[in-house]
Amino acid sequence: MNEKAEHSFPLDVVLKILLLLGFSTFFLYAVFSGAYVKYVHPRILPYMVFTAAVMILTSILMFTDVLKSKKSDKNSWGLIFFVIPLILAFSIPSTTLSSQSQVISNVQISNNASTDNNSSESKTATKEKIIMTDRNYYSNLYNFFSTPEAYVGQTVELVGFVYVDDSLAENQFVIARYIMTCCAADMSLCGMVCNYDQSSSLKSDTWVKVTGTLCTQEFNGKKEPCIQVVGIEETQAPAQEYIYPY
Amino acid sequence: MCYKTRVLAVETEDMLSAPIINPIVIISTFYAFDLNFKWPLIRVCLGLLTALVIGLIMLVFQDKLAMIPIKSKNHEHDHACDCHCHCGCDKEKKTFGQKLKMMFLHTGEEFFGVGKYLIIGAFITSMIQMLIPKSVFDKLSMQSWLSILIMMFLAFVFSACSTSDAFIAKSYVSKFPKGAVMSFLVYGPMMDVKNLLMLSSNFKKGSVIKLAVLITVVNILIMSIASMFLLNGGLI
Repeated sequence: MNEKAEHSFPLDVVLKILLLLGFSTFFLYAVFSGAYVKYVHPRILPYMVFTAAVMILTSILMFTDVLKSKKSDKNSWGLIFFVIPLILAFSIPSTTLSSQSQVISNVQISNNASTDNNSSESKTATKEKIIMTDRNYYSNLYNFFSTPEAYVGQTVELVGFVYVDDSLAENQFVIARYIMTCCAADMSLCGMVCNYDQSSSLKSDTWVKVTGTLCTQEFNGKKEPCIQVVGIEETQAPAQEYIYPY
Repeated sequence: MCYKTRVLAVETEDMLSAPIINPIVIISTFYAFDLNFKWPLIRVCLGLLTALVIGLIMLVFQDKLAMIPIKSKNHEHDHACDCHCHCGCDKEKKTFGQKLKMMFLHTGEEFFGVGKYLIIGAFITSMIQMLIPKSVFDKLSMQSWLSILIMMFLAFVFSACSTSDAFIAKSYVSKFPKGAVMSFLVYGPMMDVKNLLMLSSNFKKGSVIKLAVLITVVNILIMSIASMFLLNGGLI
């Protein structure tokens, strides 16, 4: 190693330490502010804390190391790839997806609609109203889609946002929620078609509470559940906007 | 690196099948497909078969398909632990504390070495997800061979991890033949944008391209045959 390098400032190591601290700060910030559920499934929480801890520890060790290190002739330009997402992470607020942003646009209106014959024991419509909560939203939806006939006439109540697209008729809209199975990259829109005469008066992305009875109708050649709207009212967005099945 | 003693073909086979046959992936596939055990079972079988065929081809054409590592600048190192090899096979005795410290420092180096490609891959993938509406694919033909190619292309660009891709695949069951959806599940974990970039961080371009082409071709062949005889014929 030459004399010159021996005294050069270890820029790359210092940058790496700052980046590690930056990422761990972001992770911890996301965890403590609760914003992390916009990025990942809540079950990922321990991994985020663990990652932050390892990053902090690593940066401390790197720091003790940099005092001893003799040379630094590495090119630091590659680190720009780490700087950009970090800046973006802090500067762009973690908004929730709206139907406009259509990221994963495999609109699962026809969510599960499996042709499989094996699935669940068909429950017949009960007299009681099924209230779809954050917890049972997916399982209920799943049941409705696997045996639509069994639920005809069933009264349901659910909260979701209004989603409209070209495949729907004039008097229809979709009441939908985003479902996250692992992270924001696998988000998909799940919901049911609602029959409602004043559908055109509804604005996309407004949160509504719908009460109605289940019906079935053909959609792309398949029988799928739909809701005959009885009551509809605008509401606040739920505290947890995404659904996290499993 | 200490891989010298291991056979590349075995290593590759390992790399290709690991994301498909691990228990979490099997369970998530099982759940995603309505507790239908056939999907995870066939996914595992076809994944193993494909990996095996690729491994065998690599064994036969060892010289032509060798993966040539890039002589990384990182490896002529200057960071703290004056070791010559990344996996602690050098002979100097080190205390546990020193080893632990080395481990953390190496983890940090790896993070910056590989993370770069991960970030670029994530960037490309999210651009594709944002810019190409999926409905484009919905309208494409349902012809079997074409649908396999389309689903494989989707798997390639979406780069979803194998633990959650089954849920994405599920939403295509109503739009694509089952053989095509299965090819999404088998090909996706083996090759995608992210994977390709990460491979190219360690190996020379030529050898990475050869491997990618090999994986893709074998997948197309096996999935076409499987779709023709098994999958679309009502096995699942």
